[in-house]
Amino acid sequence: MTTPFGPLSLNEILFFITRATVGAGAPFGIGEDVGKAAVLLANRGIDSAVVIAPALQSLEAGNSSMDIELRTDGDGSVIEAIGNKPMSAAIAASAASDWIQENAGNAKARLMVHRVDAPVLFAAVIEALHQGHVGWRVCISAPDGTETALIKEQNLLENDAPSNITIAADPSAQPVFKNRQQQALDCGVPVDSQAWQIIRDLFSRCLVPSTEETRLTGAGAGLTDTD
Amino acid sequence: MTGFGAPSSDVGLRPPADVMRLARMGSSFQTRLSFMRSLIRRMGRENWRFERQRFDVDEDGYGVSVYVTHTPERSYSLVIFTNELDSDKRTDRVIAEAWDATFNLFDGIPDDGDIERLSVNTPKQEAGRFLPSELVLARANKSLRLFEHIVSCLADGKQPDMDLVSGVGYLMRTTAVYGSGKFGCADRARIAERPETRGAFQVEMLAVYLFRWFTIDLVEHVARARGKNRAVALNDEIKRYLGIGNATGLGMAPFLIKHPVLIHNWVNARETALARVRSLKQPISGSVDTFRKTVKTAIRHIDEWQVDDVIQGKRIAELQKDVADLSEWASGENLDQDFPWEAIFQHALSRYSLEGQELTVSLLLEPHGALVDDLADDLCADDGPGLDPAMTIGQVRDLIDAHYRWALDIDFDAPSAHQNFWYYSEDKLEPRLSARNPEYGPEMEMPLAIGRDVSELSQALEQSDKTQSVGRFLLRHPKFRHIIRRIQTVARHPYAEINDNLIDAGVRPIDMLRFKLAFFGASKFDPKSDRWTRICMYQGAPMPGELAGADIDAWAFPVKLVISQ
Repeated sequence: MTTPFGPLSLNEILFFITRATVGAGAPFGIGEDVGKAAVLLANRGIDSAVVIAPALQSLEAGNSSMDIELRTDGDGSVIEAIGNKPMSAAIAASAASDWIQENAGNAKARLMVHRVDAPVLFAAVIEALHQGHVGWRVCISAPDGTETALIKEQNLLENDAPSNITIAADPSAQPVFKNRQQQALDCGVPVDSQAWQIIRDLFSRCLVPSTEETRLTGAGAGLTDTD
Repeated sequence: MTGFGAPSSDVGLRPPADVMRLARMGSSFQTRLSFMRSLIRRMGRENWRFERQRFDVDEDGYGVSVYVTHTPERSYSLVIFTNELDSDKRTDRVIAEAWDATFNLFDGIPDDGDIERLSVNTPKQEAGRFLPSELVLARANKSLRLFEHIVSCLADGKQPDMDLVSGVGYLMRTTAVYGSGKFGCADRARIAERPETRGAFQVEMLAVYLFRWFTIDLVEHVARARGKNRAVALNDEIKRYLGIGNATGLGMAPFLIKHPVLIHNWVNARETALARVRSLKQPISGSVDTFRKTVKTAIRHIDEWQVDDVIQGKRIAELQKDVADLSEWASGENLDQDFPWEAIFQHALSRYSLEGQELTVSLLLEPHGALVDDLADDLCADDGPGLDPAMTIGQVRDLIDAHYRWALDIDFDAPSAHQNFWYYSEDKLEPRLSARNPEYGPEMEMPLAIGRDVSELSQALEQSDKTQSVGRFLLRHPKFRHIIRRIQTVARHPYAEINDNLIDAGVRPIDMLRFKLAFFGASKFDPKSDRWTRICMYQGAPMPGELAGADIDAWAFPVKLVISQ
């Protein structure tokens, strides 16, 4: 943790993190999902830069995989990486979100997501795309088979290490994150400056260097207006 | 529709394949649903009060000012900083770093601490940081020739030359008006539920309206300082005739692509209004007279629309012929038939240029406030797009066939079809459009090449099982996630998509700019290139002290005044 930067608006968080995800190597549609998750985290009082920057760094460095597959395993489904790397939460969550929608109404539906690199980002994407986890229980699954529901937000960041995640239909399941949107709208959202700089660096990969020619012609206007 | 006569049963909305073509979008005119028009009506209806709370400027016009409006429930303040600007720094571009005036629309009434904080940040614009108490951040530069001319005239006890006033139309022009969370300003959600700011771009339009008032005060102040006892005030009618200029570039184009549902809502409202008018079997009492008078005013307005741009000049010449014909055609017995407005619409459709057709749409709406003004309430955003992963590939193909035939008809293997790419420059994030030169980094293009992406998706879908779900398809093809989401969204919002190739060699981005600016309520489009235009806002609109007047909505087509000294 370093000093806070900001406050930022929710729109800034959406704009920069969507494109930072693209800068890290994900397709734009995945970036859109991560951007929505970033806004959701900010609305819940959680520093989205702290959650997302390491996940994007891992993706950009090639330490997390974007290549995934979905298969049936017994009475459930499994999403896992093709290869030995952990799965990028960005792509895993979008795929899991799709699976949830495809299985809406199936009371016995159950999904195991293997080795997700950033479980909090994963949970945030799921919640952002479904307006809450209502109807679905999302748990971290320990090697011994015990499952810990992702519902105590104060513990989220402490547990944000590569994990297996299970998703199962559960009519009693409620949103993981408490909504504090009004606080974000009234006061803005401070973020960790070091994590935000990582986001900005990845975002800058989506920018095109300016040349004298593009400066003169790219915007279709001159450089002085003294009329 | 009760009380407006029986509608024709077969007048529908114009199809998106006609309405959402760039050539037609680039022929748009303001209508009575435009954002400035609806804001002025609200100001008058709700008796907004206006107060010049602070005007601490020196004899050259440099200093701090605060202009406040009080709505029924809350107040908004425009905090303005003016300073001297070297000529070599005067540019309308995003890459500018200094301006004649910089300002914020503040949520409430700022205290001294707020103004001190803003005095440090606002003049820096994009390099400053702002808080949710700031709803808008903007800047403007003087029209040097008109500002100085009016100062000189007033200081000398004279009114300005109306030809010059008409030729320019404004004392200052804005070069960026930022809202919706830019640089730390308030997010749209903070104000989206307030009645007065629920509509699209209402805080931005309010900021510009207050700024227009300030510019007129400023020019009179500088003239008084220079002319002392000889100085006179600016004629009230000239004040009303002065608008605020705006220079607009490519930044508006990505906006139209990023907000498909919002764009659908705008267009759907206008098209619904048009269909309501065309459906009237008999005209509402007085509406024919109003229409004929408005057409005559529009003729004068268009005659005074002077531009240097050759293409726009030719279009204006065609438009002059069209509107002259319209005046003639509508003056006689042609309107003495059932469904007279539909007759006018069909007459225009069969004979006029696109500019003439779209001007006719604006004119048809003008006498029908009671019939259509409620639609202005539906112009606000609903982000809405969501992916339906359960849809089958076959269903997606059907959607593409139904809504993207225009894209499938383009040969994207032809170099001209993908000649350009859109991008954010590292130079202050200025949006630019350039040839797809590998040295420029086209792999970093903005996702605005909708037609090309649909075409590529269509080819990939051809190789896929029609019964497979979108979710399964995206596991293998995540790069198509955004475009499938968009296609599914557009299927529910048919006016959401521009039906043209935005990376084609022949694309004219200015068509997108004009489309959006017309919805704002702008007039006197003055293209400076195919991707840059100047406009005039609020020209002819009532000043704050005139909002209690009987006809505050009669400024659709402002015309030059004849002023006797």
